[in-house]
Amino acid sequence: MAQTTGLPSRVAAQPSSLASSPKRAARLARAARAAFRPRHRRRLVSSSGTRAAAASRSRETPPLSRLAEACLSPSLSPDEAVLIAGGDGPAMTRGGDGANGGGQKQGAGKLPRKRFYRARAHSNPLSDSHFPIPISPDEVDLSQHYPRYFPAGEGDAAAPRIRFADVGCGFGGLLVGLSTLFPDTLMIGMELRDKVTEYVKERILALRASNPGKYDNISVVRTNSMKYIPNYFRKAQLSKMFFLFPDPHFKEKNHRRRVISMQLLDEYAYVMEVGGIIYTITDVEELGEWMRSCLEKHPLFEAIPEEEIKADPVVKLLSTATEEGQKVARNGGQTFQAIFRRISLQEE
Amino acid sequence: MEDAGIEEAEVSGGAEFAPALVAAHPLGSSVAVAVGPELRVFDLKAGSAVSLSDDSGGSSHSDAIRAISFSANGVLFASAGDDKLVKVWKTDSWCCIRTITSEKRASAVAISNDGTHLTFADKFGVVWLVTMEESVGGQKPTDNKPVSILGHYCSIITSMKFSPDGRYIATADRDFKIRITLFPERPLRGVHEIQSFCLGHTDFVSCIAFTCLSEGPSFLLSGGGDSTVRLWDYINGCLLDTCQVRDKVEELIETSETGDNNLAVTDICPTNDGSLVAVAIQSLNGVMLLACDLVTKKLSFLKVMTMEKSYIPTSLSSSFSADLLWTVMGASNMPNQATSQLFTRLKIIPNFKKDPLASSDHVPTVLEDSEVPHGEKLLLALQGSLDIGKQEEVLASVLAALKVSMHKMLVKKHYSEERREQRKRGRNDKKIKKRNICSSCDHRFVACT
Ligand SMILES: C[S@@+](CC[C@H](N)C(=O)[O-])C[C@H]1O[C@@H](n2cnc3c(N)ncnc32)[C@H](O)[C@@H]1O
Repeated sequence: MAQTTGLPSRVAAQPSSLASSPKRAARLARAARAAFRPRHRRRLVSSSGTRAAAASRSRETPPLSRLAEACLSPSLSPDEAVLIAGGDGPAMTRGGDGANGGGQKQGAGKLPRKRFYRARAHSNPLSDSHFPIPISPDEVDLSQHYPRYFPAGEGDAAAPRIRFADVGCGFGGLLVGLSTLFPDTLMIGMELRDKVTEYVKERILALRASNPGKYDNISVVRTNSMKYIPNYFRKAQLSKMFFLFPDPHFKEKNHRRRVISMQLLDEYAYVMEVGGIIYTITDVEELGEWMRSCLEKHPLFEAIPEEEIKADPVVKLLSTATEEGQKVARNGGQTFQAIFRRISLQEE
Repeated sequence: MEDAGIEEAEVSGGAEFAPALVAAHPLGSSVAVAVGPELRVFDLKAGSAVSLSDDSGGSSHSDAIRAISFSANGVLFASAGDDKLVKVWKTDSWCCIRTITSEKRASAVAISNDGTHLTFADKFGVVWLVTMEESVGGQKPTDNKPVSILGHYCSIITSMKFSPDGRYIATADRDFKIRITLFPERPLRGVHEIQSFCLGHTDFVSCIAFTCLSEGPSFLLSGGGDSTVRLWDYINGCLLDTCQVRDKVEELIETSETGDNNLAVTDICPTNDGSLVAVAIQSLNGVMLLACDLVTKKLSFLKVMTMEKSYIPTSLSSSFSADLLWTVMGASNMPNQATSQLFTRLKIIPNFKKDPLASSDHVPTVLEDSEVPHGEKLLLALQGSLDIGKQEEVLASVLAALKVSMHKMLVKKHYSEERREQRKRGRNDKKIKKRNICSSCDHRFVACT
């Protein structure tokens, strides 16, 4: 097992019961993270102060909900620390797409390893696609994505709908973080790179396998969000949309590739309910200004007051939950966020 | 085989096949045909060809015209095309009053119902707005340059129409989508509120048209590469009915002639009263008629009006007043085509309303050339020639071009597996050279792995 996952054997040999101690879980998470990181960067991180800080924080034996925060890498959730430690989950059945199927690289309940899923750093959102696209939201098969919510053969008119979308979800850290924060809300990540999407699928499957009853509300699709958002969501369906650390596309001629623009905001406004919230964050100042100014100019969005933002438990995750966020934090980078509410058009 | 040809043409930067277009004045006073850069207009009242004049100070069309449209009241006419020009004409004098330069090639054009605004779509899927009148509520921008108002992200917009009540603008694209957007009274302040998406086509959408019972609610019709005509409740984005034209056509023409992709719907045109829809289909020599019941909200096959063997219409139009369906066949930008050869063929179906067409087979279905209003004069003006022999030659090549046309303009590029690999390899090579700069977005790799 240790061989196939390539994890340091000391870590992989730990019995899963160890994870019952939060302290240990945190330690395991760190070890697992180290295993995740490309070799050349490992040293760099361990010599930085952040790791020590995280360790000292974790000594306070935080409650499980705080554990994520305590970990340097909350995207590697406490549940995943267990996974890395070798907690064998029940065997999964596979098939179809969505988080219910996908690659076969790992044994059941094993966390997928990122290096199998490396891809080009960015995909070109302009190039033509070769992945399946649902003709309309009616054709999105939610039972593939959320089998526990859609038991086979039960057509339910009052079936839940996807409410959150993480656009350009990358390795899926935000979904994992949100899943337990909103255990009854269906959410989906949208990602253009197929290897990355496969990774997220495997990650979710592994989490489900080793944490029965949890992580059933998150899934991922490979798609070009700039083209196919209306194929996935109906009018006013979403209550939250996330755009965390999107590709910056610095050159002026490439600004039209940016995932936030006046024109794309029209589509986001369409799929969002009035009162819904759009979260954006970036470490690129220029892009941060761009996203904010688009949102400010757009008549269907309004800025959310600072106090309200502070009280929103989701906001904390923006800079801590995803792989990009952590990288920026590790490097001590600044972040720029813009959080706006979907409003109805003001009549004059 | 076909694919190879298409890719070669792309590589060599060959221009894309451009079908001939026809538009009838809503009140029946004139009819316009566009082929290549040529705009031909015939004045049906005076019975003579119109010579166009230009007061706009802009240049004239120099490349294929891709879209033409009358305003709802017929006062204005717009033409737009590959030369990145959008020209606005006054139809009383047929004088061009405005030439707008687009940054990109234009693929669709429409004039708002009150005639105050013009919209055009460029090949990146962006719709631009221009104010037509000098002062509309004093909101005329100082330079009156086109303002982008909405976009279909990097998709070609194939058709754009205003709803009969003028409240909505509908745009269709090659990514199977039809978008309905609220068109506010002051659109320069932004056109941001999407009313609905009409999703159901399983291939590109080639044409859309609004239809309604007199004074009743209006509906949207659409046709596309999936060989269907669809009827929509566009306010709610609900598909009401779908009519498969493939089966009917396959019954009529030998299957050997119908390759997989050759039965795309190329144009649709409803009758005035909303009871019928004429459908032009690739490979069908003639026009298919569908009965359209807007009460029960059903589309059903009525009949095919067959025309001579090589006549496959590329465009359809009818006016509100006369019950004539105008059809035209022709193309430009074809290999080895001289501009002097921009012939089109024109045919007219009379009695374009439900009762005579549905009930009797005795009514003439297609006018003979001698029966066409204003006869040879009109044909000479709009077709460019009366020489049937030459015409046939041209039609044969148009026919051949039609077979690949939709591929070129609309169908997604399906690279062969091998070519895709090659492309990928090419990209990776580049990546190795410039290690830490992303080839697609110039972002440093370190920041995003
Ligand atoms: C810099 S990464 C950030 C990932 C993640 N949100 C995070 O914070 O770690 C941006 C991601 O967006 C994805 N992406 C870019 N354009 C996209 C598009 N049009 N549709 C879906 N995903 C896209 C990229 O593949 C990449 O994984």
